[in-house]
Amino acid sequence: MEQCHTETEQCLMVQYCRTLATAFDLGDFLSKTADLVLAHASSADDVIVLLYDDLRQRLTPLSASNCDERQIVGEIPVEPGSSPISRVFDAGDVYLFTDKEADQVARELFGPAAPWSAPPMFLSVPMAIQGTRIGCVLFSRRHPEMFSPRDTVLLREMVDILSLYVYKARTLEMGQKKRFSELVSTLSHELRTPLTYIKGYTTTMLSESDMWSAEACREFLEIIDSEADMMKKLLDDLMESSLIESGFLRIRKGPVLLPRLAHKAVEDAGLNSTKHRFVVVFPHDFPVIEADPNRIRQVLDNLLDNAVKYSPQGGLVVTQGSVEEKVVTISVSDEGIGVAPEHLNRLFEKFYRVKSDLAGIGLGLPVASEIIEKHGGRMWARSTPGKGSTFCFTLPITELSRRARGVELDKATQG
Amino acid sequence: MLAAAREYCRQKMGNVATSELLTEDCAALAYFRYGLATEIASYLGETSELVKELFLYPDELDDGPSVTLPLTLIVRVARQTAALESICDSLQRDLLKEYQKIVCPAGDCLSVFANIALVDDDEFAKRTGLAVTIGSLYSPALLVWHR
Repeated sequence: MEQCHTETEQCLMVQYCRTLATAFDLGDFLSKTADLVLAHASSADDVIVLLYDDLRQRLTPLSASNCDERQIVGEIPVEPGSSPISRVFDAGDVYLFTDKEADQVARELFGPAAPWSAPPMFLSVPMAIQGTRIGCVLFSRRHPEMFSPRDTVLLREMVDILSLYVYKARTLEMGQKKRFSELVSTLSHELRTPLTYIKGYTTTMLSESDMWSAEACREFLEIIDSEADMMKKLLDDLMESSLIESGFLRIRKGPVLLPRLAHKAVEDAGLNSTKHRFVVVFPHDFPVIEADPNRIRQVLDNLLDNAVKYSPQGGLVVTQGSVEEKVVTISVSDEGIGVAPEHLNRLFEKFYRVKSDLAGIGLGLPVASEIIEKHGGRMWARSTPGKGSTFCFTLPITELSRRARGVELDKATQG
Repeated sequence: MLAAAREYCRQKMGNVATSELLTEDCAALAYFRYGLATEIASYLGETSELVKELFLYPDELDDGPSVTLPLTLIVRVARQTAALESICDSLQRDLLKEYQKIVCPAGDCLSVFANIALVDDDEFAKRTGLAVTIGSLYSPALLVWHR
């Protein structure tokens, strides 16, 4: 900072930083910023934030306080020499508009129906990030006292912080829009593919119904059934993800024999693959776990499905469990293509897929991870490209498990 | 596996009981360890087609018998995989637990028993790591099983 702040100014900056930390979105932050500035006696009477749209080369109003931003007459074109605001924005410096220039600025912003009886003065402070202009903030003052150099420094520091927040919020918004667009594109593709099969085979059977033997019909119906299952799974994954986002994912815990659950899951996975060899290894004294059996089964199904999907050449798929002091660890390992290190940390991100040519929209692992976390466990992966992957998750050993184990030990002693 | 290994030892030594192992008789220990290695080799060989050979690392019993000496096995595989590592990890864990019940049922006297090391064709060709003991002139690993 170029000069020391007074105690009041320091308090204002501390409050401002707290506002940044607690605001839940850009609009909230701008509103609180304006309130702070307006409350600070030596600052301003109005705060108008203009953001620069570099595609259309215009300044668009983002927010205004003490006046309705809808009163601001649309966008201000940024063209050389076109208007005072445009000129100052181009220059990229702090500038104080007074008298006639201030009147021009007021008309530029509000047209003939400016909300003030007498034109205030406007202090224009540029918003920039690493030398790139992103907008400007206009502070107006109606009483005749000029903005002092201290005021200018303080307001400039506040605008610097605001610029950073606005830049991040816009980057995040653009990222979200891009991800949403990619998601819609992926969903569209993933749903269209099975739908094409369903439509194709159904139309064929209907239009040439006399030609097909009972065997051929059965084969077509099996394909239709399988593709419909795939669509259902996709939509189920989407629904699960939505439940998780909104906090409505319910876990109904009860005593679960994990080895038995794992054997059943592996048995069903084996029905869908003849190329893979499935092995299940659990110690004979594996404790009873308190968990939602349907949800844990869902997790195991997902991991086994991925193991099969990502080892197209076949090979071994090992599901094993181990017991530690406070947790049990279950892992599913395969002999597939593996995952490169740069993808490993992102596997549990929603809609992230390592290989886009394989079926799925990238929700299985995030949902599985969320289920395990809701059980008080955690999930992780390790992998080496070309050597396969291991996905692990832990579940806590609860009092129920210890009591059940105590009963087993007593029975063993008495037996 | 341990029971089968003890049975093998009994066949070779003539009615050898667990007590012979616990008194650290060199011959009994050697037969027991070899028997166990063949059991492990059969299991791994049946489980995965990638397993080609299994060797017993030449452990030093010349300094005296020791029931707590770790058993080191070298498994030559076509390629190393996460699934094979997982199988070996669980084998090591379970064997340790079961062996401890034989040699020290009262407490935890062992932290490791079986070391199962995977060696792939690339390491075998370059003779790196434990692969160097395979075919070594001075302390060759003992071939226990091959496909």
